[in-house]
Amino acid sequence: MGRRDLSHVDHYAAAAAPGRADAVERLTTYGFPGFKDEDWYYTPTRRMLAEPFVPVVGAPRAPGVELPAGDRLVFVDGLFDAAHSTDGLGRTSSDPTGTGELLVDPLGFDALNAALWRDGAQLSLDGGTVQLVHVATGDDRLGVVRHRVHVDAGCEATLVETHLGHGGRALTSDVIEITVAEGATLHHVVVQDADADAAVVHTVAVKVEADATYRSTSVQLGGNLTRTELRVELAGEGARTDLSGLALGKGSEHVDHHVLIDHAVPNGTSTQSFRSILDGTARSVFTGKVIVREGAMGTDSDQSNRNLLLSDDAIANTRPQLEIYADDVKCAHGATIGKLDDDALFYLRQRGLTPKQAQGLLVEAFAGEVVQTIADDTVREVVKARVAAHVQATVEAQR
Amino acid sequence: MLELIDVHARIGDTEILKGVTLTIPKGEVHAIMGPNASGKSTLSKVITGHPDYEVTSGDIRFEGESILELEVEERAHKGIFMSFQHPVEIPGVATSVFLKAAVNANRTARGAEELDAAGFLRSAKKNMKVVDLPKDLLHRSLNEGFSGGEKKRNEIFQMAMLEPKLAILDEPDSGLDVDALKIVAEGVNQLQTPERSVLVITHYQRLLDYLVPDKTHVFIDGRIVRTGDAALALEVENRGYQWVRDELGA
Repeated sequence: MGRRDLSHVDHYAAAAAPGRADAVERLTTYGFPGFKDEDWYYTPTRRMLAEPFVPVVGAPRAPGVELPAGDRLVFVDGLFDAAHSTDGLGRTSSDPTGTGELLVDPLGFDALNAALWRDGAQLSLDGGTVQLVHVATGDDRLGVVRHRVHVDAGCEATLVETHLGHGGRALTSDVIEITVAEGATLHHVVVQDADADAAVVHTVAVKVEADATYRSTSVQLGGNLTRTELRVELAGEGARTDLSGLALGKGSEHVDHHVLIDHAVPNGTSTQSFRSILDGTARSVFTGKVIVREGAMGTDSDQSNRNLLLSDDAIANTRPQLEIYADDVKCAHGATIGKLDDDALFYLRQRGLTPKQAQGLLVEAFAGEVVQTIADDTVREVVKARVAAHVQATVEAQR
Repeated sequence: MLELIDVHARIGDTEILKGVTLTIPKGEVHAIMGPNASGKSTLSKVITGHPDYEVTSGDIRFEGESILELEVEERAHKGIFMSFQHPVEIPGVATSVFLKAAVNANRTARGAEELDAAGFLRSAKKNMKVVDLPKDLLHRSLNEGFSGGEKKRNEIFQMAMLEPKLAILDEPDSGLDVDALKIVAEGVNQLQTPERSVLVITHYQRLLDYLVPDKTHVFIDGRIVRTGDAALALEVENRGYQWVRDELGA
């Protein structure tokens, strides 16, 4: 087993978690973000928050969905589900150490999380693959979960986070704080495949130490509102992060990738490659903010955002934001918004493919380039199949 | 096999085909030669049903039936294939994935059983030899990063896989050196059967040394202005298109 000290933090211990009172105070003072907040300008929180959500207590419900295979910890509506988690992986810990370390002075949904989180995984990884599976069971339930992950120096590990759901409207607040120690590599795969009426607000706060690498592939496939915030601090020299994402929006869904990369020290490298595919009146937001601090010489940063619109009423918002306070840095960015290539469609149809087959092939290819970034073969094939199913459903639903 | 009867076609408000009449019997190879911007590529797009072009009068018949109302893929299912002058690059779609889908779309439309992976691979390996393509090309993204020669050979490879009744080759020689051109022409020759008709569109006579047509048509300003045998192509090569224009003017 390529891991050690794998524990889940129970909610009694969490009650005493540091910063809880402060978070409540901050939430009640500042409230939830809305269109007046620059970072949430395009994201309709008001629609999502129009009706109340119900915090969950007691024993978790049955998940009610097919759970991913492999070593896993399962959280249903934010509550740890020992029965469906891999035996021996979880042990109850009374130690909430480290939570709030990377995400200080939380606001809005992060404050909500800090105030109300009950369960979460506390992992120290030295290899292998661990899955964190979140299930929202609807009925306006509010699931709040908070994880703390540490990847040991020089180790390489894979962490897969999946959000599944059924039963309609729900809100999941998932905060994960990750430290990748010196020379270590974490492959983080996030798949949001929630119920069409559910919302997921996910914050990933990462600290990457010297010569360490944080790689992330985030795939948003379903949900009324899906927001994934990736805040990566390149804290040690030679640290690297490679972030890629795919957002598939249909109907009136809202998909949002919000990236903040902080080049705090010299010789850091960051790449961002995010794509969206939008149908119906779906809307996507990509915000890619890169800060290069004074003295962070030799920074190399690249960003690309490509958006594919399958309908006339879909909207893609793309916002590159570069704040550079150092000389001798390389920062590139590019964005495109377009439709499927007519020449390619004609070519494929001339070879006998129906318009839907041709569209399916092209959209899957567009999505596939993000899925390809997943290093682990098994994980990649699972995600690929999930993406393909969503793409086919989207194309089939086209007029 | 293919009959065009006084076909007029336009894109937007611009008329490009101005009364094309052409009959290609089963098993024959016909060449169309013409200067740039004469409308010869439009001809191939109109026959294959490109949605940007509108046929305003006349008729196109394939095996005796009008195909004007058929969609692009329906014409393909009937056995009309076009080798593109500029094959489209499609990143992320492996050649094998695309081609298996294409082969099976055609088989399904014709009521045949789909090929399984093994059957497809056998057939693909055999047909790649026809145009001397390396096997690893199957795993590469369709046409992405292919050399000019590879792209054109890939078109003929697809033709071999799809076994069309009518193959329209739109400038299969453009951008090729003599060696590559020979491979393409010989590939087409190898695939030729008494059941298959070929319409080859080209600027230059050179290709026709290797792919000898039964008939040659000279295409100028949206019309066929001259029809002859293989010798006509040589004459055009030697005397240029101006000669035909002058004769027409006279």
